Amino acid sequence: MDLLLDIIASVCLIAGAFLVFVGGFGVMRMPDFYTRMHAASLTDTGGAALILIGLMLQGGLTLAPVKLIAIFLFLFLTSPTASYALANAALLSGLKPVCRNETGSALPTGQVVATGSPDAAKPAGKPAAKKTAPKKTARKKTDAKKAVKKKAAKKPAGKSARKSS
Amino acid sequence: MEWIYFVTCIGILVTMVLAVVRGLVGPSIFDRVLAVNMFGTKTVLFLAVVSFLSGRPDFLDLALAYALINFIGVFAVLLFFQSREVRRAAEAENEARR
Repeated sequence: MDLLLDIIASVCLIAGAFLVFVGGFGVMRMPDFYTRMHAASLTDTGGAALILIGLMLQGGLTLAPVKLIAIFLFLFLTSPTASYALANAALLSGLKPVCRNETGSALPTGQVVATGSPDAAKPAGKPAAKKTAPKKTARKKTDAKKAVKKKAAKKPAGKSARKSS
Repeated sequence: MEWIYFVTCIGILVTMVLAVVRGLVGPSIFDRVLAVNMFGTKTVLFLAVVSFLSGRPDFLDLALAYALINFIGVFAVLLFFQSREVRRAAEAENEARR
């Protein structure tokens, strides 16, 4: 029984360390901010869960597994929230994802509206196309600001009140 | 069992180094925030593994406290940059009106 626990914990720890390393490698190698966030989320979910479960199995009947469960629950509540806030802030500040068209050639990031932000980029398409270049950027920024206002209105009352203060 | 903890520590440390490199070279601010967030999460895991490696379960309290501080810190930085972007958009709108 002890040997079985050791083996399961070892497998969990090694697999967790592997996932964490793969995630770190992906954060170094990925081409774009959003793909890097995808790689980082791999370490936050798979790696953290496997390592903490492996440590829990080794803790025995002490206080250590309880603390590990607390860390586990806290990490799993906060890391999606932090990822959401990070992606939201990046999208609102105008960072567009790099995407490709049907022919496979990479488009310049400024022209891409298809898979970008649905509420910030699409309304800017038609009226901004007629204007000159500097005015276009100004128009886009106002649209981003409108999107911010829209989102603030959608959010629950406590957060919007904190933002407006 | 000791060497398993050791291997896990090495893997987490290599990832922390990679996250620091990404934080240093990251082109945008959000890359740096992502790297710092990842570094903090890896620190929590590292403290948990080290507490088992050295046989001192007190380190788990440090890991819990670090997780709390990391979460609050990332949110504070993100709120700061988000409000800065909103302020810049408002300034650009004022410029366009003139």
